[in-house]
Amino acid sequence: MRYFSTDPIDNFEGSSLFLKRLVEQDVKENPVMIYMKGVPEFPYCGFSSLALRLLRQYNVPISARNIFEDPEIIHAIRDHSSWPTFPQIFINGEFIGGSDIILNMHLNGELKEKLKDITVSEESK
Amino acid sequence: MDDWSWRKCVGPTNEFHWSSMNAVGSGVEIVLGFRLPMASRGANAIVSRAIRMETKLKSVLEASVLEIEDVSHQHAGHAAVKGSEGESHFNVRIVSPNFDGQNLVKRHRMVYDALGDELESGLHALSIVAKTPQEVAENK
Repeated sequence: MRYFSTDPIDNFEGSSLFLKRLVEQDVKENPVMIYMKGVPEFPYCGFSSLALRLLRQYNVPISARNIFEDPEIIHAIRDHSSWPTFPQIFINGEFIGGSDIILNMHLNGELKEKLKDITVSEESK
Repeated sequence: MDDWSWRKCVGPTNEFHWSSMNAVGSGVEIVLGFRLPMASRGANAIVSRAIRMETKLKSVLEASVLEIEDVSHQHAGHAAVKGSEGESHFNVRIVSPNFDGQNLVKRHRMVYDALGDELESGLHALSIVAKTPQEVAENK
């Protein structure tokens, strides 16, 4: 489980571009990326907690970022996914949805299929 | 205060209002006297958002079944983080023929699109069950 911390950035020119790039990088470099309310050890919302709990059942490396750390990143993520609420889950760069959709995919087997080629690397074990 | 908004609403919040109102046989101002001002404002905000959501979803998505449940109290720890007044988390169960042929992500996007104004004004989270009339008939 990797957890990224976003330092709040002063509103200097270009910070929104920085956050846009950050989100693109998150999603590209992390096979399973979750933008959540709170940190993995202490989810701040039941929906984020549920999504994380489901993903953890698959023994895949999960990367997470707390959207409350820098309010500006919320806009960057929303712009990227065109999805208004959190959590948001990306698998292999593809936007998957929020907790309802993850739960649905968990129950019907689609999530297992999506995650089947993702293995736990030595680094994140 | 918008009298009509809370008169029309259903659910536990409104039942409280009604029973209080019947007990004292008086109007809104008396009812408010039973509650802390902050709690009253929060309750009425919930009522009006639920009704706005219902109106928008019914008209935009031609919903044949629409259930909206306020679950903000379950998220009280962070409901006020962004300045909303507690009307932040809802469960929505909606049946619409417009969902036919659309996957879950698209269905959820249709609901979010219909509620754009609400999401801009403090609605944080929706738990959405979105089905077509046919899926309901087949009990999917």
